[in-house]
Amino acid sequence: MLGSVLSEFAISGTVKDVAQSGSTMCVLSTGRLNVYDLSKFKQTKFIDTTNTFHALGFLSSTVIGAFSLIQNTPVTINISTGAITTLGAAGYPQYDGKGQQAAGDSANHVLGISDASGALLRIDGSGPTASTITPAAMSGKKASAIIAKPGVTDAFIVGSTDGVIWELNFAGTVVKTITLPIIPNDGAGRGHPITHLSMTGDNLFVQTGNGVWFHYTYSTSTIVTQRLMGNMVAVATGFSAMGEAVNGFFPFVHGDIAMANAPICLFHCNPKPALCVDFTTFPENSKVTHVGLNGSVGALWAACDSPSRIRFWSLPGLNTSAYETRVQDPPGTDVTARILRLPVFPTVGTTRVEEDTTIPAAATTLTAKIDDQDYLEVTLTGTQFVSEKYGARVFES
Amino acid sequence: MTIAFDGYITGLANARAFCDRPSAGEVIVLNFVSGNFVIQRYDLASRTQVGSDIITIQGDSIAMVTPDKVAITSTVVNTPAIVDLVGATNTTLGAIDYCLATNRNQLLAGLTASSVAYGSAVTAAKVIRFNGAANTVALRDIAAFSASKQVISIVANTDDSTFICSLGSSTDGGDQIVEFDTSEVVIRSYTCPFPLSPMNLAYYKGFVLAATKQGMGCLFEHSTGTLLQMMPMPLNTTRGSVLSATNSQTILLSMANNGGSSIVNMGSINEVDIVRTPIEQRGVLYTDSNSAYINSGVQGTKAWAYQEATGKLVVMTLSGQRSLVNRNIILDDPGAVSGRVVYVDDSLSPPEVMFATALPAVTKSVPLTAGKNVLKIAERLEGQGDKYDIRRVST
Repeated sequence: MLGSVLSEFAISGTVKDVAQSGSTMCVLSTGRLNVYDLSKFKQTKFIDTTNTFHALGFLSSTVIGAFSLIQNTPVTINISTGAITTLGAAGYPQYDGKGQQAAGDSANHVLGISDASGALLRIDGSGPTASTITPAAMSGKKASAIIAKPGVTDAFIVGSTDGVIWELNFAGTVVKTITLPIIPNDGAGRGHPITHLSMTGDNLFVQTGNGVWFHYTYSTSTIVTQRLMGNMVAVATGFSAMGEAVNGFFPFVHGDIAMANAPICLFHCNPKPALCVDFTTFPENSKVTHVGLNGSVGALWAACDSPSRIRFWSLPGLNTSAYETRVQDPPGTDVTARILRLPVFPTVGTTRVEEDTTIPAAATTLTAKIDDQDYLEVTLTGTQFVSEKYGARVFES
Repeated sequence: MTIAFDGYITGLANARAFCDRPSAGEVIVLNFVSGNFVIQRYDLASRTQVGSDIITIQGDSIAMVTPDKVAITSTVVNTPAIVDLVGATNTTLGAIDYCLATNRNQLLAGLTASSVAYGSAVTAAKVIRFNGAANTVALRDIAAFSASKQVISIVANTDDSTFICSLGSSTDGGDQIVEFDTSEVVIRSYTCPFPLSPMNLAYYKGFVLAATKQGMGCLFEHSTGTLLQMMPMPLNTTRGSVLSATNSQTILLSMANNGGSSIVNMGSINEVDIVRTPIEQRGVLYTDSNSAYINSGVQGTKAWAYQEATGKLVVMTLSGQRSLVNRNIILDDPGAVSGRVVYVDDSLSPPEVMFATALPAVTKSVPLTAGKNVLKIAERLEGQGDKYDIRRVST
């Protein structure tokens, strides 16, 4: 599933945050914004900043907004010209180097978590202006992770230190709330501190500081599965357990213990529940701090310390592709049939039923959810236990 | 499947080691009480002590060597012991070797039907062997063990009357999984993918789940050493995650969140169903203390886990496990051929792959959920020409 190492960039200073827009990647490190063009795997610019910034998001394809733990005045940075615009006082983010402290929708909105209870930080790229908002639903609670809702603008997913997830817009209007359960519980109720979020399609993944990981069907707020996938960590040191997801794939990494060869896992959630389909490591005794996928170039990436760098592994299976199928019985006569498609993973994991569809008596196109993948396709016609007939073929998507 | 909290067994703050005594529904504890190291019996149903304390050696690991006898090894003294629970007697044996480590599980395992237990030894390439019938102990060679390797964890395979262990060094964890029989003949050996080091093992019906130092769980088809699945687990650089396998008719493991030295865990315990794709964790029990679990066990529908910092043994009731049946299958085309087979329960939405495996050209036994009408998809190996046989079978 995972291919070879595509490239690696050395980073000056310590990596603080990473954001992507298409094939453009921005990395905040100590006193510097690094800009990369992933289509060519080359650094296009670095912009030194007076103070270190710790969280960023894209306001547009060429402008990012950033927050700092050192100065309460956020900035916008034009990654083409290098121009830095310091905005009015708004506040400080919460954590140093954790990631997911700010998110942008590339439509003039960057939202960040605040070190103040009940508050979020904002950068409005249309001004540009900076401000703080205090959504009523967040009163008495503290945000701990934020991502932009994929595929839409003006929508953000925010997790709290006590297990509450809100979807809200840039104005702070909450449109959805999910509360993580602790059931059964023989002791006093307590919330799961949310360290990281990831979302693809209708799947929301939540990693908590209690080591329990949740997979939600987002539209219905129902839990697909919950697993003990990590250790208990303080949110502040809960370095990226998850990052950007693409087409049902998402990365997961144990991030809280500085150890050699910490596994960077690749999960796939089509079909549900999610399956770990491959893993890789930094073999150089490094601590992984940030991780994500990039759909534009088909890559898994991870940033680490000692020394700071970011590495890219090829992931050709990120895309989907459509393949035609039909069933004829006798030859020349199309019949309706049930189609089961099972991707056959060559390395890790056993096969699953990805597609279960009844097609009409005609050539029909179905989507294979993983590219460059062997599929076993099974056809069933007739009536079970009466006249059932079977067929099979293997194809490569 | 659900996991329900029954209650605590307390007073175990100084406990050193635990093991199951399924024949009596008991958990056996090596405890330190009033200046003495003692063996204690606790009934899992009532969570009360049975019988009196039996004074024994300063031990660090225990296992049932017969239904009524407990084998004990120690990191402090090299004279292992056997305690007879029925006769309430301790027999300290001759000088042999020390137990590898303290405060870890799976350093000693017993096959009560064979009256044999094996444990890790400090001496590399050796194992400590107990004979429960004769009350004897010996230090044995396992020829296939590397001269530099020690047994990091060991469990009994009651299906085949063998032992499965991970080999490595006490500081780095294992790198190899080895099965040997009661004559110390190695049956099979395979490795976790680089760089994963197995620290804890669970065997059930042809599967081995290994918890590694690096936090990845690896599920193997044991007969072939084939890696079926991987999944992140809580990691611990000295202990791994804590695993224990059930002896009931289900695939069930308990796993305890087991943090590193600088990490405090909120007690959370999961059940894991390993004959699924992906491995399914069902039921999470949260307990009231932020403390790591270092030992656990399962006996049918009862499970327990020991919380190191509080000295509490959490007792749980498990329910909703599914039943499995073993079926013998062979690919015939005509005559035995190698290939692979997938069983799909297409009555579920989405359909569930019950089992998928490579098949040698001989009969093989596979575990399937009982009482189902499922699709069996058999395929000859590529290179022999793709050829499929699909049929509906009852389990």
